[in-house]
Amino acid sequence: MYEPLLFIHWKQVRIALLPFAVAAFALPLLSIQGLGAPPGASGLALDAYRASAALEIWLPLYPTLAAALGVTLALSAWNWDHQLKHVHALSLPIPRWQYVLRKMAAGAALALVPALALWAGALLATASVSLPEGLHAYPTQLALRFLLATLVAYALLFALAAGTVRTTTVVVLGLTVFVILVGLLAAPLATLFPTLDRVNLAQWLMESLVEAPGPLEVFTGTWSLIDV
Amino acid sequence: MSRARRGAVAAGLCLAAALLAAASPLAARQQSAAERALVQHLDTLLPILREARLQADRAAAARELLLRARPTETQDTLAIGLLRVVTFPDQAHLARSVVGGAWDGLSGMVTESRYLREFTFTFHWSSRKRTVVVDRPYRSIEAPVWAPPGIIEGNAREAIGAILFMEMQRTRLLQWVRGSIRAPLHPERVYRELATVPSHANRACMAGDLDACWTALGPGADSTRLPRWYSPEEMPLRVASIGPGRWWPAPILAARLKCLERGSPGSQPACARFLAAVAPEIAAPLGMEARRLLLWVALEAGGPGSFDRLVADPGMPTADALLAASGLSAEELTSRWREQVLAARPDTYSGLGASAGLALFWFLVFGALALRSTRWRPA
Repeated sequence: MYEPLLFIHWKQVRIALLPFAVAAFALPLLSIQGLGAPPGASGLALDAYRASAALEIWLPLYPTLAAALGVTLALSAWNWDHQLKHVHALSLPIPRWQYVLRKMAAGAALALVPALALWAGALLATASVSLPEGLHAYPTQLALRFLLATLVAYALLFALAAGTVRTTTVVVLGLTVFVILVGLLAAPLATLFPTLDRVNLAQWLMESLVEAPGPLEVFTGTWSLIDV
Repeated sequence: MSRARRGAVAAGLCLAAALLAAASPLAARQQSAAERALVQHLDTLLPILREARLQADRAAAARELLLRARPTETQDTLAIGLLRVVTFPDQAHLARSVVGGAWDGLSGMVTESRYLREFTFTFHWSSRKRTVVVDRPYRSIEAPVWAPPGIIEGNAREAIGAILFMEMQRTRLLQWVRGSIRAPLHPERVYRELATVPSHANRACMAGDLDACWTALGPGADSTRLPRWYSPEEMPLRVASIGPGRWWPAPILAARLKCLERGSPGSQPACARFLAAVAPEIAAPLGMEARRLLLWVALEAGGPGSFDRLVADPGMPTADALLAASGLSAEELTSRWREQVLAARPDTYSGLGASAGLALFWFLVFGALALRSTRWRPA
């Protein structure tokens, strides 16, 4: 039952997955453009300052790509179920929880494709430059973080998309309205209740999401391909 | 307009001008008289104002004396090495543990200090709002009760180190290093600086050239060291990495801008001019944290009395003072410093294992939530 679901998901998403895989492979190569010299060319050694400064520009693209990939995989996982009103799934001789787990596992397996592409790109990129003393390359760690971030984004959207469109809309809108409201009402509430003066709910919410043990913590760590 | 009418207008204007001319000195005289009267009146108010200020100062002093003379709660005075610590009785055991722990790291290095004897340390690590009152110069070591022990211990080390730094201010070391005398809090930053600042001195130091390390650390640095720090190609990169300072005078800012116009005529001299003009600890390839680490390494290596030797001769050059304190040669001292820096190399992906565990946890949580959909339940 797992293989057919993987195959169906692959057929659904392969066109969308290709640009992600290409981007994941190219990103590490692009980020070291103009920085290095072929290994062994000691006279043209990679300058550490240039490397650390230039690579910083590319850092935000890695988590962005991971998030976009996770969202694409999650939405494509449920796309044809929603289109066909779940008739196919209901006709299968397995309980829903097994169906959902296998579907989720299929999507997670597909996340490996761009992650492996990024790993290959990062290995190639770091092998193509000679690093100066004191700097180190982290292709495997970067690829692992990319995979983990993709899986979290995928799981989050998968859970939302598993419900109805109405549920998803309510959850997303509810969170957005909450953040906006607490931002707007912070000052008046602090005037009425001085004890709330030091409480920033919007900030607290954001920190809860992006700091450990929040679900998005993996997005906020280091994404360096080359660092000390 | 008829000739008669024109004549009348001209005569009127002349009359008005004459009246104004006559009235102006009179008005001015009247105004200045009024101003003088006002100033005289203000003068008469000044003694009253002076007396009021004096009374206010006396009242404030009396209030403070009263507060100091009659503390609201009993206080204990503890002697910890050369330190005099005042705290509340219920905090005494904490003070002995925290301040004593901080002093243990310094006790061998300092055998006598005028400033440590002059100053009192007040200690308060509690949720209750209480003020420790002392009648001499003091330095507070305070933290709320919910602050972890590391915070209050750090505060204690910082406070003691700040008083020791006062001792150092009369020496030539002040031109080279500033700040509290304590173990560096972030040696990993020194490693990052050593590895990434565009300086051939740093690169050579990283590769094991101890003389280059000593040059980069720059005890007794001056502008003549600039070529030993940076090559002409490295200077613009270094200037770009420094960034503009808000309070720099216009010539320094202009030199920086000119320096960053790479390839333009006059750019290279502008870089050298800029690096020579800014403070040596900014221009140097290794900054204040690296210097403080070298100072700490010297004090640790010197053992008993190392701080005393460091500040013994106010006129001693920085390099000599460091060597006197450590009892080592420049090469040995730099070698120890370099070992500590290399050992402090930050682990860039140190938290990845925990992040992986957390990510997998949330993956499972969201997966479980996906199982809970009501979509397939029969109506």
